[in-house]
Formats: sequence, C-alpha cells, structure tokens
Amino acid sequence: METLLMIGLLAALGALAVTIAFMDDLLVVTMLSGIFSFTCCAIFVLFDAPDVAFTEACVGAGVSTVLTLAAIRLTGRREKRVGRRASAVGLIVSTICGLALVYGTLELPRFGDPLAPANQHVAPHYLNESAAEIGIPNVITSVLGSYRGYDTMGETVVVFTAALGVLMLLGGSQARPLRRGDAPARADRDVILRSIATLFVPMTLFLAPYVQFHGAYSPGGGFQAGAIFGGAMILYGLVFGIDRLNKLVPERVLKVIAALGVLTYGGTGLVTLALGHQFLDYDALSPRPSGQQIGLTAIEFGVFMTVTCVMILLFQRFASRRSEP
Amino acid sequence: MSDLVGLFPYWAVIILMMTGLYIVIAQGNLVKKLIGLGIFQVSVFVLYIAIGVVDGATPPILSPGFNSYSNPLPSVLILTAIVVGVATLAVGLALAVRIRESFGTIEEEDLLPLTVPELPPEPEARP
Amino acid sequence: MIAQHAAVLVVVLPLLCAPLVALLRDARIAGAAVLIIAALDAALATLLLCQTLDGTVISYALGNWAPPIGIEYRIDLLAAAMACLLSYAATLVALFLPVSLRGTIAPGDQPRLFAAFLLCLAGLVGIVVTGDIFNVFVFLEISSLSTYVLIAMGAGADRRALTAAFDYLVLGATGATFFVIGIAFLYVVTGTLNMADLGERMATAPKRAVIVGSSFIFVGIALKAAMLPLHRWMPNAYAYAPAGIGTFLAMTATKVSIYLLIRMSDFVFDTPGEIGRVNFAALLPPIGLAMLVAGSVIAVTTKDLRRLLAYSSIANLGLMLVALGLGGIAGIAAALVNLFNHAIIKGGMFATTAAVLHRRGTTRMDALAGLSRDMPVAFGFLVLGGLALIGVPLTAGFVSKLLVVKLAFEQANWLVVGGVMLTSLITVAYVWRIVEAGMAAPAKTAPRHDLHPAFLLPVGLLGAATIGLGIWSEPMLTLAGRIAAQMIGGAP
Repeated sequence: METLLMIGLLAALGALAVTIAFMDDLLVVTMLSGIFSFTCCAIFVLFDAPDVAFTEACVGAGVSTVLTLAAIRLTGRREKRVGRRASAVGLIVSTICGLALVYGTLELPRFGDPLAPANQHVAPHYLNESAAEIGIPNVITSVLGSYRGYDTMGETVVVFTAALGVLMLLGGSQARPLRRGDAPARADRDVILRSIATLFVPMTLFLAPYVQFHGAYSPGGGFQAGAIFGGAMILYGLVFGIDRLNKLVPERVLKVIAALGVLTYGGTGLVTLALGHQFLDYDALSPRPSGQQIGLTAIEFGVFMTVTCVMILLFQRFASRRSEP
Repeated sequence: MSDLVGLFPYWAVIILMMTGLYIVIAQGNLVKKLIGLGIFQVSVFVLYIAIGVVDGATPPILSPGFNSYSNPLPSVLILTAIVVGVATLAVGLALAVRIRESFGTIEEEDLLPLTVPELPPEPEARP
Repeated sequence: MIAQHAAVLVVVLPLLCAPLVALLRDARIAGAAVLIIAALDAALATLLLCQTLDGTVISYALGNWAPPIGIEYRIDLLAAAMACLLSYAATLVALFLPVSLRGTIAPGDQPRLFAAFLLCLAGLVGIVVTGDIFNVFVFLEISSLSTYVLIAMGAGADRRALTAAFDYLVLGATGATFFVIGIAFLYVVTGTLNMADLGERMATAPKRAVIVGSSFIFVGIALKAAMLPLHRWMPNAYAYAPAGIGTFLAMTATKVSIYLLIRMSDFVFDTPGEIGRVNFAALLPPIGLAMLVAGSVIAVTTKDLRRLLAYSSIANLGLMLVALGLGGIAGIAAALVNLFNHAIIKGGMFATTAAVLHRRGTTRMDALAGLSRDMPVAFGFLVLGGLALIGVPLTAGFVSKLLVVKLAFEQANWLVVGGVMLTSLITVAYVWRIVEAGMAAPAKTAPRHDLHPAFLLPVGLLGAATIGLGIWSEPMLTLAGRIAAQMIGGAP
C-alpha cells in the first residue's frame, strides 16, 4: 500500500515538473511549483520525516510561493518562449548528469535497508544516546539544536543574510514606496476572504507557540514556529492590505528583532564559552540533561525571532514596492 | 528485479532533479529559472529523506513501544537546506525585480545585448 | 581562554558582529567598526597560525560532541594559513572600502553593505576551518549569498552589476546543489559527514557511488573556482562589483575553492586503497592549461582594466590547477605558493585599480590616458604588479612561476613548460597594454591628483610584499613545503 502511494506521489511530481517546464504563464507555474512542494510534503510524511514535511509546507510551499507571486507582480506574468538551441544544451547536460547519478545508485543499499551504512554509523548514537544525553524524545530537535547546533546557527545566519540582502536590493535608497491608493484594501469586496482570515490569523498565531514549545516532544521547533507566525502575518497583510501590516509591524522593529535572534543564538554560545566550556556546549549552563534543555530553549527562541521577522520583512519588501516607475 | 524495486525511488527522484536542472539551463526567464532551481533543490531534499528511510520504522521521536526509528540525520540536514533554499530564492527574486526595473525585461535573450562588455557603463536610475 | 577558543572565535567574531553593524546608522562608524573587527580577526588567525606552525592539528569539538557525532573544527597549518590570508585581505580592503564606496552607494545603505562584507568573511573563514563536509555547505551559502548581494551593489555605478550578480547566483546555487548531491552519495555509503572519518570509511565503500559523489562535489567546486568551461560568471562579477568588493573577491573567493580542492584531494578525491580511488589529478593539468592560455589571450583583447585583471586571474587559477595536477608534495607546495603570491599580486593590482576608479570614475583602457603623469604612484604599482604577473625576477610572480616550470621540467612534462612560457609572452602583451594606455597623452591635462591616502597603506603593503616575497622567498617556500608535507603525511 505504502509502495503504491509512493509510486503515485512520485508520478504526480514528475507530471508537475514536466508541466512546469513547458508552461509559459508564470502565475500558473508558481502555483504548480507550490503544489509540487506540497506533494513533496506528502512524500516526506510517507518517508517518516514529519519535521521536514512541516518545514517544507511552511517555507517551501507557503512563503516561497507568496514571495514568487509578489515578485511576479513586479516583473511581469508572461514568459517569452525560448529558442530550440538552448533547450538542446539543457537536455544534454541534464541527461548526462541523470545517467551519472543512476550509475552511482547501482551499488547503493536498497531503499529502506536498515543495514545501510547511513543508518549504521553515526545515526544509532543519536537514536540510542540522545534520551540520556539530551533528555527529550524528538531526536531531530536534539540533533538540530545540540549535536549539530553549530550548523543550525549557520542556517539562522543564512536567513538573516537573505533579509540583509533583500533590504540592500529593495530597501534603503532603493525603496520605491507605494503611493496612496496603489494597494487599496478592498473592504467592500473581499467579505468572505476577510471573514475567513479573521478566523484563521489568530488561530495560526496561537499555533506558533505550541509548535515552538512542543518541538521537544513532537515535530516542530523554532524554524517551523517562525515560519507559521510569519505566515500568519503575511496572510494578514495579503487580506487586509500591506499598509496595515507595515503599520502593525514596522520594518525597523523587525530588523532589530531579526538581528537579536542571531545574537541570542550566538550569545548562548558565547555564554558557554565564558563558563569555560566549548562553544555551544549547553552542559555549561546546568548539569546534564537539564543544561541541554535550557540551551535548546534559548537557541530555538533565537531561531524563532529571526525566522519570524525575516519572513515578514521579505514579504513587506516585495509587496510594498511600486510596480510602475 | 528486486534491484529495480529497491532502487526505483532513487531513480524517480533523479528524473525530478534533472527536470529542475533542465529548467534552470534551458529557460530564459529569470523568475522561471529560480522556480526551476527550487524544483531541483526540493528533489534533492527528497533524495536525502529517501536515504534515511528504514523499513518498518517510525519517525525518530522516541516513545515506549517502538524500537525501530528512521534516520534523523538526513532530516536535520534537509531542514537546514530548505531554509538555505528560500534564502537564495528571496535574494534571486529581489535581483530579478531590480533587473526588470533597470533593463525593462527579465528575459535572458533580451538582456544579452544590453549587458555586453563593450557598452559604456550606465549607472542605474535612482528611484 | 582566547588562545584556547581561537579556532571558533575566528569565525564567530565577524559572524556575530555583522548583525550589530547592520543596525548602525552612521556609515563612518560602521566602516571603522568593520576595520577593527577584521583586524581583530586577523590577530586571531595569526594566533592560530602560531599554534599550528609546529605541526599541531587543532581539533575543536563544537558543542563538546566528539566527532563524528558532532561538528568538528579541524585546523592544520593549511587551514590556519588560509584563515590568515582571508582575514588579512579583509583588513586591507576594509582600510579603503569606505572611501571607494563614496559616491556610488548612498551613506544610509553602507552599514548593511559592511555587514554583508563581514558575513562574507565569516563564511569564507568558516569553510577553511571546518572538518565537517555539511558545515562546508552551510558556510559556503553564507559567503555566497552575501557575495551575490555585494556584487549587485555595483549597480550604483553600472547596472550590469545586477545581471552579473544574478548569473553568479544561478550558477552558484546550482553548484552548491551539486555539492549537496555529492555529499548525499558519500553519506549513503559511509554514514558520516566528518571529512577525516569519511576519508577512512570510503576505502571500503562501493566504488561507483564514491566516484559519482566525488564527481558532483568536484563539479560544484569547479563552478565556484571558475574552472573552464564554467568560468563565465567571474569576469563580470569582478568587473562590475564595487571596486573594494572586487578586490576582496579576487584575493579570496576563488582561492577558497582551490583550497577546497586541496582539502578534498586529501579526504575525498584521492583515497588510497584499491577501490574508491578517483584520480581527479589527471584532469587538472589539461583544464589548467586551457584556462592559462584562454585567460591570457582574452585578457589581451579586453577593453576594461578590471576585466583584464579578471581574465588574468583565470589564467593564474589555471596555473594553480596545473601545479596541483603535477601531484606530490612539490605539486601541492607549488600550487600553494602560487595561491598566496597571486592573492598578494592581484590584490595589489585590484586595490590600485580601485584607487584609479575612485579618482577617474572608470577603468576603461582608453580612459587610463595620462595616468603615468597624473597618478604616478598608482601607475607605478600597476606596472609593478604587471611585472610580477609576467614573472620578472625579483618579484613574487617569478618565484611562483619558476616553481611550476621547475617541477614540470623534472617530470619532463614539456606541454606544461611550453604552456607556461607561452603565456608569459602573452602576459607581456597585456601588461604592455596597461603601460601603453597609462603613458598615452591625455585629451586634456588634468591636475596631478594621486591616490587617495586611504589606498596608500593597502596598496603599499601589497606592493612591498610583491617585491619582498620575490627577493626573500624562503619563508613562503618553507611554509608551503610544510603544509604540503602535512597534507600528504596526514592523509589517512
């Protein structure tokens, strides 16, 4: 049954990818790529990776799609068809790469093989020892926040860098603020949308802290919570107008909190240094395993701050830009 | 035959990856290129997660009554990669917006004659 | 305590200072802050170099999780020397970056640009000190994302910076994805991400997966290293980025890719044992020679000084690959001497170009007329750099070229000997073009107005090093020899 489901989902993904390649209406392409992401989420759930599915749904299918739509508003909807020559190059390169990859898989362990080296060498330590070393059931949270916590700090910095980059490209002296009336909020027309949003936005906002603090026990954590919170705010902006969102959470506040998030994460590391331990060794904060949990809570909060603010900030920058020069 | 079943998920994912790569190389529209890049990346995520699957196991959230869990490490790596992907997308889209505003187009073939090195430098118009 | 944690502080210092700098409002304070941070980072890197000079390998377990469970920072002599190169380059560039940005970037935008510069530095240093292959990817992305934006900031002077940045973004992101695919294949057959552990476990892994995995990693790095035929992003990126940023990238970005090749050739590409041996070394001399010749030839035909220098950089990268491909301790040592010397020579030339751009507003060859009279000091440093590029004795360029030729001579590899000799002649041609352009009589006489003082120290230091390392080459040769010996000896 699961195999059939997997084959079906993979086939759907293939059909979506090919359709995307041949469509020239970017609006449709964007929506299809959103569906592509969602279908991948289903596969992630099927493959026992609910945390990844969660994040892909929020970030990949949600925020990415909204950002792309906001950008298309500024760059134009129709794509020009390309010549045949360029396609031939693409076809040759991707065929060669694909065949190389297939060749590489021939001696790989079979799909789902518990004896595969990937499942035998480092991973068992996480599964067998994390209960004692970290003391929380969600092994993914343990690995993400503690065993490979330094990667996660880098990842938070990547998010911050994206916001910095978009602000440099579309903000500051390069901003093109909307004029009065450029983005009218249509109080008279979108009644259904507004009613639903009024219901959904607060519910989603309440979901975020649950996802944040329950990340130790179930799928979730700072990234997911941040993306959910940010997504709810984006929904608010979409429905009630970007002006109201900008007023509710001004850019300068978001900038400060986004930077503070990175500093919270890095600061946790510096505190452990000051206490005479290695960087990000949460055992410095309190004896094992409670120190680990304190550290995880601190860094997850930093991640939440940065991700939430960056998601809102990115949307604001694209959505509150004037499209005509 | 068992090989075919055992490796099929990998091969399907490879086809997806290469479709994404094809869009990146072949399409002339900058936004479409970014969308293709997204498909390429998401397919790689599926490859990673497929690596971590263990037959008959449950997601790696420890609870009494289960003793076989899927591999948590690929999930962690992909959580990182997803965020990297959206960061790249955001910067790429911002660049596409600026290119459209300065050059009036985001089609590669129209941009080519406007960006040849022989042209004199032209500062971007300030908004 | 600082000595004990220098390994991680060298990355974390610029990484965590970047958000603070981004929040500053005053461009001058931000500029000064960047200079101080970069200088402190250089001090930390120097400390690391001192700690590793005797052959010690520093292993720093982040989060105190022993590798391969956790992420390890592993600093040998090579990593420390690279960290020094990166942080010194950042310090020198930070000296003149605020001046060179004046007029093209609004003061209100500058603090954010400085923050991105710090992130770029932190990302690059993070790549060289880490011992974990996925951590390489994360820090590669930090440095890449900030580099894309920094290049695009050149749009204030020339809008083509935007397309240059976009092209680099698409190529860079594709390259990074190839890198990640490669990691997947190596992980699935070894179960580890720690590079030292990976090297050991690869010996018994299925050969095909290792070949494909290493190939994808190789292509990913080749994209970043501007290897032929994947070099197209580089001349545009260097020519349209703000001049200070271009200088920093020329000194560091592709060098880090070459570093990755050397590092991976230790751990990934060339594992001893009967299986899993993928000989990329055989690929490098042909690619390198092609880059050497093509880069030099195109450099002769360019109409812009920065573009000329960028193509010349492609030629020099080719020389490094050739040296690397010749193999053995001597080959790695020759590649490293080339890497460091070229960073110094080209850094000096790009910095001088930035000074010229600052005064004249353009670096087109035909606009250089009268340079020898109006800006004699700048012109002098350009000529000095040019001589070093040719490989004239008593310059650093001579030492590095001689090493490669000598090595090829010993191996009776006449193709390499001939190729290097031939390109030296072509180099004479393009350096002569700079001299000729600078000596030409200007259309109208401008008042003598030499380098802005901010450029004097970096340009002077790099120029002095160009001559100094040519005359007194012993320390550099010893350092490179020791690093190479450690790499070969330390291979599992």
